[in-house]
This record gives sequence, C-alpha cells and structure tokens, in this order.
Amino acid sequence: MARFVRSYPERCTGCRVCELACSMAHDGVFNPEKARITIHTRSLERMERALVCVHCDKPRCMDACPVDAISKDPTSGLVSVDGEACTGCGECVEACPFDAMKLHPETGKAINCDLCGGDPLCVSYCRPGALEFGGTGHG
Amino acid sequence: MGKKGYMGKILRVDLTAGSTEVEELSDELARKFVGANGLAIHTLYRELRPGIDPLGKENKMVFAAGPLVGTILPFISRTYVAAKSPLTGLFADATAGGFWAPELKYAGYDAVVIEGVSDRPVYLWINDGKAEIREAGHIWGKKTGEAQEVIHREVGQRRAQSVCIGPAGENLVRYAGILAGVHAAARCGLGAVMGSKRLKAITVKGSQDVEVADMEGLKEWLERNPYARFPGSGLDKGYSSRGTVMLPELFQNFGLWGTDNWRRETYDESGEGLFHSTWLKGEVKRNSCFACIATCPGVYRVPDGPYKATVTEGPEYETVYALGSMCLNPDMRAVAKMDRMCDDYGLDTISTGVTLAFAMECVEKGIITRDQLHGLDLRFGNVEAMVQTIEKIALREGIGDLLAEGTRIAARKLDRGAEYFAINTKGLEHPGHSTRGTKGMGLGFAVGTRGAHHHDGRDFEYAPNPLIDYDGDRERARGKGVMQGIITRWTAAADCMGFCHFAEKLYGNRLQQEHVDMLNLVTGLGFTLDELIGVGERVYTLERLFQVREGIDRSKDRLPERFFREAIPGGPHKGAIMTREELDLMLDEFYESHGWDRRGIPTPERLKELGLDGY
Repeated sequence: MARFVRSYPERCTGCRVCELACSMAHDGVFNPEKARITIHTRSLERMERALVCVHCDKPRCMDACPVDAISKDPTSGLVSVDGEACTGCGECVEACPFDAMKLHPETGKAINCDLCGGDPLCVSYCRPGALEFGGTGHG
Repeated sequence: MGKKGYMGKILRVDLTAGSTEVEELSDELARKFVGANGLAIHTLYRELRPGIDPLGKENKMVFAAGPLVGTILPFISRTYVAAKSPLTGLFADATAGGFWAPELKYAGYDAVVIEGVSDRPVYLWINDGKAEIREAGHIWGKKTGEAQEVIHREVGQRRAQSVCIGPAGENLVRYAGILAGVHAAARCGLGAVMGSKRLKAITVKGSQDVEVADMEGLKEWLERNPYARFPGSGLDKGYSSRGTVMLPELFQNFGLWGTDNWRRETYDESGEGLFHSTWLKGEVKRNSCFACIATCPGVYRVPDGPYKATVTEGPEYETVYALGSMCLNPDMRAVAKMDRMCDDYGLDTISTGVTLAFAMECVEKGIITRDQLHGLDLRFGNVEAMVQTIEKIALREGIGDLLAEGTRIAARKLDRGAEYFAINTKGLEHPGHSTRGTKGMGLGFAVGTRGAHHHDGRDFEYAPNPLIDYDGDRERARGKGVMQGIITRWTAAADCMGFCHFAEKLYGNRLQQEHVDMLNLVTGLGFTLDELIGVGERVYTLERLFQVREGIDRSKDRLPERFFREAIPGGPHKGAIMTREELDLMLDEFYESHGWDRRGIPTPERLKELGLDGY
C-alpha cells in the first residue's frame, strides 16, 4: 500500500503554488504544465480540487500502457513511469480515472507524482493545508 | 535577451490591419523600465500623440506581466493594463489579481500592445507563442462570465485565462472595466477602450517555462521570507486573509468611512449591515490569486432575501463603500447583487457607486428632474432603483446614458451647480478613503496620475509608521508630501515588477533591499536599491510628463469643492476639513520630493538625471 498526496478541496484556495513547487522541484523552472499535480477549477467563482496520483492498488494506467513502461513497486506501492520506455502515446492519460497522469510538454513522456522521493514539496508549500502526505490504500 | 524572469517578447497587434508581429524586449529597456508599468508608459508616451481621442483609432493599449510574475513568489501576479483613459483623458493604468498575467508569460510574452480598431468584433487567442485574431460576433453583447466560458470551450482549453469586457465596455461606458476571470482591472474606463477597438477578449494559454536566474537562492529566500514570516505578520489575521470586507467596521470606528456622497464619514445608524460579521453569514470559501499565500478574495452567496443565491467573489471594501455607505444602502446582500452585476456587465464598482450617489444627490436637489428619470425613484437607500440604474448605465438606456459618462461629464451636461456633488478628481471618482481626515491621502488624490486613486499615493495614516517617517497625526498636512513621495516611488516600481500592493504587509510601503533581492534572484540583472528607487522615480515622472503634455499642472492638482467647504460633521474626526493652504503646502513638498518645479512640472535637469532627456 502506497502513501500518496491527499487533497482536501474544502481547504484549497486555488493558488496553484503546488503546481509551481512541483515544476520547481522536478524541472528547475516555473511551468504548471510540467507539474505532476494540477488544480482543477470548476467555475469562475472557483470551486477547485487537486488532481494528483494516488498510486492505486490496481493502476489502470499500468494496464493501459502498451509498452509496459509503467510499474508499481511491490514494497513502496509507488506507481512510476520508465521515461526511457515511454513512447508518449497518451493511453495512460486516457485511462487514469483521477486525471492524474499527463504528458510532459517538452519531452512528451508521461509524468505522474513521484512523491519527491518521500518528502513532497507541494505539501510543504501548501499554506492552507489542503494537501497532506499520508493516507494509504486507494482504488 | 537572456531569458530569466522575462519571456523576452512583446506581441504587437494591429486590429485595423488584422496583423500581429513579435518584438524583442531589449536588455536596455528592461534595465531602464523593468517591465509592466514602465514598459507601458515608455511605449505610450512615445507612441501616443497629445490630444488624441481615447476612444478613437489612435489610442493604444498595453497588457503586461512584470518580470516576477509566473514564479512562486507570493503577492506577485498582477495583470497590468494601460491606455489613455476616456474618463480622465490622461495616461491611466489598472491592475487585476487572478491568473491572467502568469498565463500570458507561459504563453510566451511579457506584454501585448494593441493598436488600431477592428471593423468587427474580435478576440485575440494567444496559444504558446502563436497569436490569432478570431471572430467574436457571437459573443458580442454577452456578459463577462459567459463570454469567457464560451471562448474557453471554443479554444478547447479549460485552463485558458482571459481578460474580457462586458456590455458596458462595448457600449463605451466611460468607467467600464476589464475582467480577468472574476477579478477586475476596473478603474479609468480601460474596458471602454477595448470596446472602442471592438476587442472582446484576449485569451492566453501556454506551456513555456518561466526561468529564474538563481533558483537555489530563491528557494532559500522562500524559506526565510514570505512563508516563514506569514504567521504572526498580521497577514494571517488581517484583511489579507479575511478580505477587505473587514474594513468597513474599522473605518466606521475611525470615522473615516465615505458615506452619503461624502456628506459624512460615519454610517452610525445602519453601517453594521455592511460589516464583516454580516458578510460571514454568506461566506462560501476563501480564494487566493495565483501563487499567493494570502486569501483576500472570498466567495459570498446571498443567504436570503430578494437576491438569494446570488454568488459573487467579494464584495471588496471599495464596493461596499461605493454601492453601500455612499448610497445609504445598508444591505450587504444588495451590495453583493450589484457587485455581481458590475462584474457581469464589466463596470468599475467604485465609479458606478459614486456616480449613483452623485445622481441621488442631484435628484434630491432637483438638478435631475422626474422627466429625466422615467419613473425611476433614484433616492438614497432605494436599492431596487440602484439595481435598475446599473443595468441602464451598462446599456446606456434612459438616465443611464448620461450617468455612463461619469460624474465629471454628467455634471457638465446637467450644469445648475451639479459639479459640486460630483466627487471626482481629474474625472476619476474617489475611492473609499478620506480626503479631510487623512491629509496625505487627500494629497495622493490631488496629484495621482490616475486622478483620485488610492494606488499611486496610498492610505497609510491609521497608525504611526517609521518606515515612511510618519508619526500618526492623520489630520496634519506637513510632511505628508514627502511621505507620498516615498510611497509613489514604491507603487510605481512595484507596478513594474508585478506586485500586488498588499505585499506592503510583508515588505513595507517603501522600496527596500528585499524588493531588490527578489528582482535580482529572478532576473539576475544585479540591480542596486538606488537603481530600483530610480526606476520608480523615472516611471512616475514619465507618467507625470504624459499628463503635463495633456495640460496637467499645479492648477489641475485639485480636489472636489466639498472637501474644502464642508468639515466632517461628526465622529472621531469631527471638524476635519481640507484647506487650500494645506493642499498647497503638501503640493510643494511633493513636487520637491520628485524634483519637479513649483508648477508641478518635471525640470529639464531632473529629466536628464533620470535618463529621460529626449522624451
């Protein structure tokens, strides 16, 4: 069972700092399209929730991948993409029920939350406390 | 140029020809004017001939994002807009919070310059560097929310961001604003300029990087600064976290709350209906602008009454003042309804409310007659009549056609002494800050680039503040000119970088090393504090030069007569009044602090020092 970044929409203010912290941590730039977490806004008055990988027990992205580039670590439960093997076909993006998988705008490869190796930066930067690192078991 | 902080590109759009071209942003320009406000005044000063019609084909608009926008630094996401204003006839700018400016940068640009007039309604779609002028006939006439939703569906990008006008801008209401999502760049009628160009919206989306010069330094800065300082800074308890709707109660207690078209500055009998405690009965949630740690915007849902279920982000303090206490409307629910209407139609809530209060006093005095009102009972406190009039203003119907001109032109047309009740300076209606009770703010209104605006000079006179050499004496004039000199250098430089002025809570209201550090970490340009102060001075002075070219000098740096003739009638500041001697004293101080002559005109020597000779 994997730990994952759990989101609490009722506390989210929609500032999108999580997206910025993510692209800062992974790419060394500010670019929400490179972020592995996405704030979805429902209307102009802004009812939002975070879309982020929950590292499912039975990952549909993994089943959908035609080249077996996605795997789930048996010990940690982490779902990850092998960037070498990924062809950027986007099947995983379609398959994910949580809209948590996306294609990197530069490399074209699939990306998902990798928990920053155990200390997710989005969580530490989320001032309203709408993200927590914890919770096990999902999907 | 080296692409740190900046995207290095400006998009120029000629709506007459239907063409677009890309210009490089030079290192020299960045160094001299930093961005946004500086870039806009540099461009418009050089390219707009004096005397042009703000609503004619010669006017140009600049939409911009400062170099710090798009990074993770909080309080820095302002969408900046500038043009010659149809309300003041002068250079004017307005900014909005929200999400448009960072998205402009991800789409590849620091600024967009709009020229010419389209022969049919259009919108501009900027997608990852590519710009396209698209037909907007099917959304012309639509309210701002619906228009944005239609466009975002049409371009197939649910995370696109738009700046957009509503029917008020299309109908050239002189105080029409521009909506970015639900955030308004409202003041000075820049929405009408968009309308005159038949430009409904600019929609942006992109996936380009905003790079910074020193990422490791920036990470250290973040840990030491805004995030660490936020708790206990007052921000976590003050209006930056709970919304400016906290301010009516505060200003009522100070006795500095514009009420009854400024005949009073307290709303003793029913102001409570506009307090934060009343607002909380409809609070849905708190929001933030892009990358911000503050939560100023709150979503409010009218809990009961005739406007039940109306949802709006806000209303902010200025709206509660203009559409509430100024019009003797003590009902938060009605203010929320009208706030939503103004957002939908694309109107500045401040000018709308102050114009309504003006009209009500003119009705009271018999200057506006029953014949002109077509059955509207436009008297103070009549909420239903206010709601109807707002719609008439946006659509320019009946009395609304006159009121759509703003208080200055409407008063001229009405004549018969109406000017006395028109609370504007240089044509811009006053926001909810005291002229008589806080003399420095009064000066700020008199000299403000935009006219009566609280974002050139600022209102900092509620408590002593050593940073700007202020001892806490609100009603005293002496020293306030120097104080506003310090503040205007900061507001001008902050507007160049992309700051929200509420960042003053963390970094103060005077340019400091912290501002320079942020700019250098992001751009790597190695500014010194003196250089940044010089940028603020240069930009503010060039704005003044633009106004001087349009006929502004000391004789025009005046205030509405009411503030000279009537003292505050009650409350803690009872008896306070502005005198001509006090204003003159402050004008002298202020001009001197900027190196302008006694007529308020920048001297040739000063222009040379600022690198503005030849302008």
